[in-house]
Amino acid sequence: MNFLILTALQSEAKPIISYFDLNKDPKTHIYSNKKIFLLITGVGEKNVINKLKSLELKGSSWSKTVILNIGIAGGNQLDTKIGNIYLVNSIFDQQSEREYFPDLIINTALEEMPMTTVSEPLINKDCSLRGLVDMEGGSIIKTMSPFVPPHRLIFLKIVSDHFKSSDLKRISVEKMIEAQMKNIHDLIRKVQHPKILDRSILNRVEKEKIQEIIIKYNLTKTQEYELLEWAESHKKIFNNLTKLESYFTVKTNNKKERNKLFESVRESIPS
Amino acid sequence: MNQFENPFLPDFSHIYVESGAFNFELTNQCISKYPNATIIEISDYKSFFNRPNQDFQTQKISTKLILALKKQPFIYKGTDILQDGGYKNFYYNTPILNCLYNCSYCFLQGMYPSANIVVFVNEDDMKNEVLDAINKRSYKDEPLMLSVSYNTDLLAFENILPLTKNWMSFAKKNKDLLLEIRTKSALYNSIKNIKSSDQILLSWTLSPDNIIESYELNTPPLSRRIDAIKSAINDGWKVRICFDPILTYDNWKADYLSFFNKIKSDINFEQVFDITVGVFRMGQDYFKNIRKSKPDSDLFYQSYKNENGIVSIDSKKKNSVFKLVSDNFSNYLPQNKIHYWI
Repeated sequence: MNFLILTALQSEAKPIISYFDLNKDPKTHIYSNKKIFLLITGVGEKNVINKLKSLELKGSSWSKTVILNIGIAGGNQLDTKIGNIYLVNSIFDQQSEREYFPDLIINTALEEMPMTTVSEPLINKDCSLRGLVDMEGGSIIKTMSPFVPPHRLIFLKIVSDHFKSSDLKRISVEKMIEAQMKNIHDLIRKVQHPKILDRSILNRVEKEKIQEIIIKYNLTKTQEYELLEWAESHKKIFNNLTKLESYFTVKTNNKKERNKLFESVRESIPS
Repeated sequence: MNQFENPFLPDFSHIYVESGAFNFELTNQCISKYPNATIIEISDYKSFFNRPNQDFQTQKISTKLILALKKQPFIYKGTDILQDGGYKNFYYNTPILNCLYNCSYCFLQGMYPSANIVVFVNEDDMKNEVLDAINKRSYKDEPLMLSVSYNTDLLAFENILPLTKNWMSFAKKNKDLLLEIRTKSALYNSIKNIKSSDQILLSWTLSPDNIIESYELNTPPLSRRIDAIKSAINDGWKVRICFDPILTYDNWKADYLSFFNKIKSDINFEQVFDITVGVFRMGQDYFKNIRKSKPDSDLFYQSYKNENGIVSIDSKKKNSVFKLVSDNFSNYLPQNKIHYWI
């Protein structure tokens, strides 16, 4: 299981980089160790979307990735305490007026809070919003939802201010995040449960074998899809792919022969 | 973390309530039933229920409750896949979307994008539409048959909200309304104090214990369902028994034969109203949706026939199912009291 941590600011990232001993890839600007990756998105929707697009979202496999947005946020003083960490249970994107929800299935023991994502800082403005206020959460959940299921989208916010600049003058972002690293690490440990990953029927070796057949016979997209379905059914029923592989030993010289072979396999596969 | 520690939240740790659904009686009952639940206000249940990329089976680990207002249509005409039991004015409604149980063969996992449970709290709107449908029904000489458990197991929910009781008392006030309450639950005691009525058909789905253990997750064992049926018959209720689906696999006949023998010795079939029988079947789109999610159950990796968009077993297997049921029950009930979806 991999974790992709997204922070808006370098100062939010620094304690995390240090805690998990992450190293920067100068080409991608992504910090990582074996399982934890960190990307600094910049502040606000435009920066977030540009940075996330740089990850080549469609071409990447997200089946084993948990997205973790960690950062500071403003908080309503009736609901939140400066320095406390909160697990976000709903995000209202003020600009699009849309609601987003991560799935909360892990028992974290962290206090939960709704959050509003705004496009302009609210410091020293008369703010009646309840819960948390940030500038990235809405864009992150909107951009990543097509790729990552909602139970692997997690938003952790540490309250830096009650919408007053005087609050911000008193705090150090780095120290605030650093003080919450144990909570963050505890959550990462709890999330590491196989049940939250995408289910997979074929293992890596079996997937490679199927890929070899696809290349060997230059299968069409439809045939690829069908072969994968056959392979999954075979694995479920026979616990291996031996019989299926045995059908793909003959050589074919052209598309017509390939299609004929494929048809004969379709007719003879046991299930 | 200890590898045996359960890191997951319990079911209904969170209740999502539509802004317009607060202050309904069912909402208040539900919230007071779960005082420790986190309440999250939402503008429209669909913004939570219809999110992209949700995983049905992962959500079953910690299912959430959604309280919402049903919008029209409030009732639906029966479909080809749903057994109408011979009733011409056959309708179903959806007081709840999704189910407390998690049966491997259930179409709900392909029908809905989410496993979370939606309870519609505006019962009166649904009841008014039922009254309207009774007045407008096509076959005036027959009552309107309403299945209230099509997209859920309503009786299984009775310890949480008294929806079954509410619908039963509504039916009793309207003589042209018949109800079918189909269940796998053993919660008959929760409605035991209601006087039996010919307008209400209590239907229990039964399966052999090996099928219950493998494919009917969270449901009560056969013995408890049989006890519930016996109590209901003793109290004068019309009881339907559903063998639906009968699953076919290696040695299925031996398992079902011993299951039929057991229930014939435990239940007096002369007092059973009727039997319905079905095989595994599913709309192709639902089947594809489920298969795409790579479920653990082997049911979705078998060979099936697709006829007119319905995925099901082949006709040879269907005939075997028909024969086994017919051989075992034709001496107990007249032929017109055994309904097949085969």
